[in-house]
Amino acid sequence: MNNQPRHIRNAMRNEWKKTGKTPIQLVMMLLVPFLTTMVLFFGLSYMRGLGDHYSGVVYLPTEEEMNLSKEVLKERYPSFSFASGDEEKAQNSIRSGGEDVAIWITDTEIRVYYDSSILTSSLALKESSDIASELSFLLEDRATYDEFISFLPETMVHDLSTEEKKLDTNLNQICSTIGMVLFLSMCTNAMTLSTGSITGEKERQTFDTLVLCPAPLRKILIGKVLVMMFQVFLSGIMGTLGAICGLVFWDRTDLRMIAERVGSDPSWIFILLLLLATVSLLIAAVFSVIASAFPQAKKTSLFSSAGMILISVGAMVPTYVSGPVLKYIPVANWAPVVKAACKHQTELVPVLCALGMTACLFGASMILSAGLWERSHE
Amino acid sequence: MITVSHLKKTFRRNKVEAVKDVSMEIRDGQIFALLGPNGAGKTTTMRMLSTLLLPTSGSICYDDVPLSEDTEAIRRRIAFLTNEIRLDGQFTPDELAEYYGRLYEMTPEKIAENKTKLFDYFGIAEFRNRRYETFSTGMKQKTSIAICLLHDPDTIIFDEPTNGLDILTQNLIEEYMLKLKEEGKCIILSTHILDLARRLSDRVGVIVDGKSVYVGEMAELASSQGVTTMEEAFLKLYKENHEEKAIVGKHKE
Repeated sequence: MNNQPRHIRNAMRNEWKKTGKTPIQLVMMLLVPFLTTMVLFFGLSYMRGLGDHYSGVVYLPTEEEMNLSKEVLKERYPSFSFASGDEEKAQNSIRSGGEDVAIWITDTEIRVYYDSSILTSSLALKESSDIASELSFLLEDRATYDEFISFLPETMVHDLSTEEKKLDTNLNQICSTIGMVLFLSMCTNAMTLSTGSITGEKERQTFDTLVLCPAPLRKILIGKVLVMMFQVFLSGIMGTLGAICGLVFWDRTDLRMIAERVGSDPSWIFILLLLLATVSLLIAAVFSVIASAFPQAKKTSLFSSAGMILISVGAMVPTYVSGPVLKYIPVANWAPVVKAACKHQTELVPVLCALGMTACLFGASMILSAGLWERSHE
Repeated sequence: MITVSHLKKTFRRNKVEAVKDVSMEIRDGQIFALLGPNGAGKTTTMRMLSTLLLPTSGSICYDDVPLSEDTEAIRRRIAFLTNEIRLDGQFTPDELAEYYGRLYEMTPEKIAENKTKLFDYFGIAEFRNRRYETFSTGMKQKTSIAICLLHDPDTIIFDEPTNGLDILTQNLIEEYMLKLKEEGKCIILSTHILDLARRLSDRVGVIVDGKSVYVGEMAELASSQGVTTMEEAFLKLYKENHEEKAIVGKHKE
């Protein structure tokens, strides 16, 4: 009995040594999730910036009308340009993707063209209806327009959203993005590692030598899976750090808001590490079962996609389902617990429950994996 | 001593009866050669003897202890070597010895002692810090033998160990087998090279179509069949026992 932990330790030491033999693989495994989450957040920031800017064009029948409109309205509507042209020109400017909205004006009607499939085009639509109303008065004559403007009541815009609501909306976006990207990168790493170290033993024909040792196979397997879990855990930490770095580029307001809530309380780090540990354990368990079942890496990779879908669905559940029980379920509890931690509502119980559930699942998976690993040999 | 009685192995997946009825007795301090044509069931029998495969029926006893009763204890006593067995290519012979020595629950001192002895004999010592994957076929085979014998087993099962090797390496391995025999070890050698069996073995077993058709002294093989040479005896045994409709040779182990 005394030798039992020694076999696990020996297998872990051997597996870790193997990782040391391929440092590039280890660096890539850590760098990829870091860069993926960071670049994704940076990309989102860029996309969001794009959403705030749009451009429109107003086509008027004559040069004279065009100059007048430009002189009076350019300052009030800086996103719009003014040109002389016909209806076809207006339509073409939208079809070619050059403009988000195009307005064509005649004496009898105002036509607004836009492309509903483009987000910025829909955003430009509201402003284009304002400019169209003003133009109709301006083209009558300047006096009518001045009267119209003085008659119009002043518009005051008030944002009724609270800081709490804004933070919640942004956290939803952050958590779902982190969740999906992080889980997928962790799963990819787990898939590569389990295929190499578990299925690989059979493919490299080194499995027979292991079976012939008096050390029980299940202990060698546990050693291998624990190292795999640790590597997946490290890649998860790197991915989370990447997400935090990305957040700095993305929206400093969000980061400041979160930092203000969390304050100097470091408990969120502990919660985050526990969450990553539960996720890593579960991922390692799922992929070790798949890798043990097949003797060829090709088949393992093929069936690992199913494992990836399983984990990803778990991560997506809180997006569509809400309920108090959800935060106790491993993987699904990622977003609600991270959100709670960012709002300084420390929730350790759900994390510990999920960790317990994961440990049980891990144990069951190890028994199943060992059985499958040995069975395919016989 | 190993006693094998009415051993049978049917592969469930492809429903092939690879071994139909094999019985033999393998004594300590002797080299037992298992002969047979390709696909006769030699490797399957060897894999069952080495605990890698479970027999469908029949029994294997190591010193009257059935193999199924204490597989772990028997694994401590045996070594199995085929030219199909590989070691992790990223590791050096030193690292491999350390890893497998620990799996065999050997002390660091014992690992170092046995490793030095084996590495020196097989000429691995100067390559002990080079990766296994960079070795030539012969050097790989010598390293595999050294690692398999590290735990000083009582019973050594060699499945065609000299296949594909040059004459120098073949000679080195053959001499080591004789050395092990002198130490009182029980050696089982599976081969289809009759000359190798004649030079090394004391007793012989012939398998044809999954059945043991002769088990006895090597020196008596020819006379027992009423012929003058071992080759003639082997051919006679084969012709008398080979079933024309047998599916031997088609199975995949």
